[in-house]
Amino acid sequence: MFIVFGCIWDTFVAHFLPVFIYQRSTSSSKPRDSQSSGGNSSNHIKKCLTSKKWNSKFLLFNEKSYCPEDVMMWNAIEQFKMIKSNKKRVELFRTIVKTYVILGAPLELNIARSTNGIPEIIEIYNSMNGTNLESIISISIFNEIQQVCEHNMLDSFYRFHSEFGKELEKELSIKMD
Amino acid sequence: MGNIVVSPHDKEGQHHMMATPTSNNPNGGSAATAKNKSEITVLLLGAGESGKSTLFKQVQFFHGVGITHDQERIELIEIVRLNVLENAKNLVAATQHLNIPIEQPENRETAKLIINSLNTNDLEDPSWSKRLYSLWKDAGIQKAYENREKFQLYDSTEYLFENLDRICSDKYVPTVVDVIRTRTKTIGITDMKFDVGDGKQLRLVDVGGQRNERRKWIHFFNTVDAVVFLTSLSEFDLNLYEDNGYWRVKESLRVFNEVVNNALFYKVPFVLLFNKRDLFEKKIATKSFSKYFSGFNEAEEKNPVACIEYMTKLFLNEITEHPLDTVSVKTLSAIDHDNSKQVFEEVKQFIMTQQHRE
Repeated sequence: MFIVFGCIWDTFVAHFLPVFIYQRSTSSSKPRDSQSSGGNSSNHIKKCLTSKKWNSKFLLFNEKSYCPEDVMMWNAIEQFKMIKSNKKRVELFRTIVKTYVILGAPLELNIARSTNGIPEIIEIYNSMNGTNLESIISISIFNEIQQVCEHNMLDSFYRFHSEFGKELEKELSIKMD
Repeated sequence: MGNIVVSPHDKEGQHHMMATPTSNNPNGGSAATAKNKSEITVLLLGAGESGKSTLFKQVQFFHGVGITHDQERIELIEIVRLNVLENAKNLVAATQHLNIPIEQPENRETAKLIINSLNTNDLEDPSWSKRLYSLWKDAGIQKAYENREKFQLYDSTEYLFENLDRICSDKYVPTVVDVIRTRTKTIGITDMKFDVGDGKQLRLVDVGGQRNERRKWIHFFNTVDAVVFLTSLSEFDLNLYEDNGYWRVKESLRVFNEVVNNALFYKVPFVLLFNKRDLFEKKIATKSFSKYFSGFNEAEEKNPVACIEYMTKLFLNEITEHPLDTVSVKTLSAIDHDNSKQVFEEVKQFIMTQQHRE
């Protein structure tokens, strides 16, 4: 059972990871939605994530601790918010939900399912079919999930910060205390 | 205790995401070769909120590493305050969901702010200590709290609300107890190593427990020398965080069954820890235990020893493959420092003795 899941999971990671790294690298120079959430260290995490170099470093760090999905989802949501074409946004919506949100998704997030806007997202996702790509999806539909991703990263960011404290302070002015 | 090496991700043993979990691990082999190895890998497993990371933090703490030196780190302050906000939000949401009105008008105002705009930075302002405490003491919120088995709420709630005067201050520095009592959902896998004598190191591996996290456990199964499985005694009236509507005990039993009967673990010592004994004893004083277990004698339901014996049987019945003489069962209150220290020492001794037997 575990082995089967492990294999499936690995296969999907191998497929989706390069795609989302590519998506991120093509989008990271554009302006970001800087909706403020939480305190100082949430801001630190945002600072880290919005730097192209540190985003990659943090993602790699998280991969080694078996928790890349929150950073990958965060990046995918940034990409989602920048899409202008409605059709493409719907496509990415479906990809994101399929990859990270539904139960048993290959990169399923560790997130409570009765809140965070998830019931609404699943309802929209389930009401779609292959031909119906004309739905209007709000650009902010994943905002709550993005915030949970940031919270989920706190634990690993704490360790990342321990390891790269000096560089983070020098390059991004992120202090320890 | 000797030197401590803490490595969030072991440089040598880095396991790559792309690696096939079933491939032969060069460091592999389990207990059969363990006595010749200089490193003993112990996995902490169990469903979500069973206390794996609490025990892990305690072990770090009594080895003088990790949080002991890091209390001023802003990530810890953030984690504690996020716990306060999440607990408050969940309680307020529960009053709506359960149709229990918050009684005092000023508390209703506070509740609105909590739901709409309050963030962790705001909690630097000491006035929030009074407002949140007043909300906590509101009859409506207390009534929701009494019914907390009906929604998701962290075990840290009462502790944090009782310590708001410290937390809501710009001078706040979390204590070790704050950090241990605070719920931090573990995502992924981390480890620490420490010397255990005879030139050996014990590598303790902590993992996330929710369903999505369990898919990651497989990466460590090949190199395991012992498994410590935690389950929460106080979850008998609770449903899952990741699947509200699924009984936690059923989930724990299912996960335990899959792990204990896994062929890779046949030869490794296995410890089953019934955690949260403190909470459990408080809970059965006011809630019915037998309501959840049809096979349990109702007359005994206020007797914690009888309840724990029943739970032990329930779990041991799941064991179909693992030799029973290499299974040890203990109870634990992981938030209690002394108890954790004692139980962990016993677990360590059990594992070492089993390895010498090999």
